Parts: sequence; C-alpha cells; structure tokens
Amino acid sequence: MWIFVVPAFGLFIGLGIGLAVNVHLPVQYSAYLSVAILAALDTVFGGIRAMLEHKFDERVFLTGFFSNTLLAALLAFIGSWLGIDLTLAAVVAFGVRIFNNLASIRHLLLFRKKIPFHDSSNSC
Amino acid sequence: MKMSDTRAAKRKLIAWTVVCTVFGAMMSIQYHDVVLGGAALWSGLPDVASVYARVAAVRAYNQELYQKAHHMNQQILQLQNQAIAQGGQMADIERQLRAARILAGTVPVVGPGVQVTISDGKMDKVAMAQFITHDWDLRSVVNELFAAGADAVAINQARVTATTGIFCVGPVVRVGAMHLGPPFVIRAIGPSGVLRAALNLPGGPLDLLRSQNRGLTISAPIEERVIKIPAYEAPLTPLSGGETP
Repeated sequence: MWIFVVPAFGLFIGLGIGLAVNVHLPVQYSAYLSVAILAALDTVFGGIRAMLEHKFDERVFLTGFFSNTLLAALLAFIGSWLGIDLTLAAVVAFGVRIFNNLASIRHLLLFRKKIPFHDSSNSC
Repeated sequence: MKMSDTRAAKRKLIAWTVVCTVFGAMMSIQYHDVVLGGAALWSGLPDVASVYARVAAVRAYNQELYQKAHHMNQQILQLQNQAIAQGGQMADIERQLRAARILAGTVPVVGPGVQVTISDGKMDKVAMAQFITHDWDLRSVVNELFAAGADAVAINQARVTATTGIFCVGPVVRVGAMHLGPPFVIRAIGPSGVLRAALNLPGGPLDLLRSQNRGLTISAPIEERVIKIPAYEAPLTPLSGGETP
C-alpha cells in the first residue's frame, strides 16, 4: 500500500516544488530537459515492469534514473555541437522502449507472465 | 528473514519516492517553460510566430509580476500605517520611513495644495520658438514650488523626484521617463497658501511667463483641499551602476 502512496506523494511534492520555485531554463536548453524527461519516463516504466517481474533492484533503478536522464541530455547536447540531431535518436529509442515496457506491464498484469523483451511480434 | 524483507521494502520505497519527486520537479519545470511558450523539442528553425507568442507570453507574465509587486507595495504601506497607528517604538521609525518615501517619490501622496495650468499660445501672434511651453518654463515653476516648501510636485501624471530631469524633446517636454504635451497641469502638495503666494509673487515665475508676451495661457494658481499626486513610475530598465554604501 505504502509503495503507491508515498511515491505519489513525492510526485506531487516535486510538481509543487517545480511550480513554486519558478525556475526558468534558457530556451536553448529546454530541448535537453525534454529528452531528459523522456529518459526519466522510460526508467520509471522500466522500474514498474521490474517490480511486476519481481527482479526490481533499487540500486539499479536509482543509478539508472539519474545516469539515463543526465546521459540523454548530455548526448543531445553533444549532438547539437556536432550538428547531429541526437534528440531525434533519443525520442525514437526511448519511445520504443517506453511502449515496449507498457506492453510488458499490461501483459504482466493480465497474464502474470513475461514476454521476451525484443520480440516485437509478441509485444502488442 | 522477516527483518531483511522489511528493510528491502523500505529501500524500494525510498528509491521510488526520490525518483518520483525528481521526475515531478522536472515535469513541472518543463511545463512552466512550455506554458511560457518556446520550450519545444524541435527548436532548430527560427519560428517567427512562436517567438512572437513567447514575447507576448513573457510580456503578460511581466505584467502579472508588476501587478503583484504593486499589490504587495499596497499591503506594505497598509501595514506600516497600522504600525504608526499602534504607536510604540516602531511608529517613530515608520514615520521617518514614510517621510523618506514621500521625499523619494515612491508612494502616491494625497493632501492640500495648489494647481496651475500652463498651455501653449497661438501661432499667429508670435514666433514659433516663443509660443510653445519650454522645459525651463516648467522648471522655474517646479523650482519655485519646491523652494516654497512643497512636499510633492507632479507635472500631469509625472512625479518630480530628486532624479527627475525636465528637458525638451522636440515639441514635447520629457519629465523623467515620460513625454508630456500641453496643457501642463502642475500640481503641488504642501502649505497651499504659501505655495499660491510664492507663485503669484511679483517677479515670480508665473509673472515672468505672463510678462514675456509669448501668448502662453497661464491659469491662476488654485488652492485645492485634496490633490492626488501619483508615485514615480520607474522605467522598465533597472538603474545602472550606483550601489548604496
């Protein structure tokens, strides 16, 4: 029970902090935050899936969350230096992963069984 | 076995809470920027419409902040009035602060005073340079009012403060940050009898303006029971340099 309530509470606290402190990123950096948010969303769904598969590890989850968000933003930043739009790559890669994770979560909730991660014929 | 189970559950809980909090903050910061406009993932091309929308959004936001600041100033003044009314040690300091504010021109002032109106003359009677009201005309009247003990002076809606310059810009007169055109209504708060007498002095500023035959229309100074003078309106750019020691 608490595993739902306390993180939800934390989510609202975070939303409140973001709205209250009134931080504004310069326009040129907002694309990196978008990519970071996408990476974070991917990690969160991955975490939910791992919980359902009973192989959740909080160390993997925490390091994954922060390193994924930072690396995604950093990669997009480097890409903008080199003239390669790596935000596009991040959107595609994370988008595919998010939908895979969502499909797995749905299957796990429905049938209590795993589906192979990269088997796209099975994942919808 | 049981012990390690609860510990693992606790660690899970902490991990999820930390992640959700950070994630929530990230989302709301991004939301803030998207609402302000311009924070899009694909911002490679200069998009005039979106830039314009952003400017409009930022302007509206600034307006909102100005309103908020104005509202807060009102509240501060109210609280200070309360402090003065309550008396005690604070009242004396608040009274000094209020006097300083009136002197600096940062608050609106209401009180008895005088009002005089100066309008341009007609072109047909005299030469061009003579029939319009000049900066020095206004300056002489304002100086006379301050010399006679006015607490606050305003020309039309422009409050005259210690840092307000009065000079001509083409056909209009610039007072501080405002460009004003005729008629110029000069209002002053202070001992109204003294102010009126000072303006009417033979050889005083109004007498001089009338005697120059420039065709300016100058009203007689009127004593009023209630004159409202607005606060100094700061320009949008912050003051450069200058720090208080």
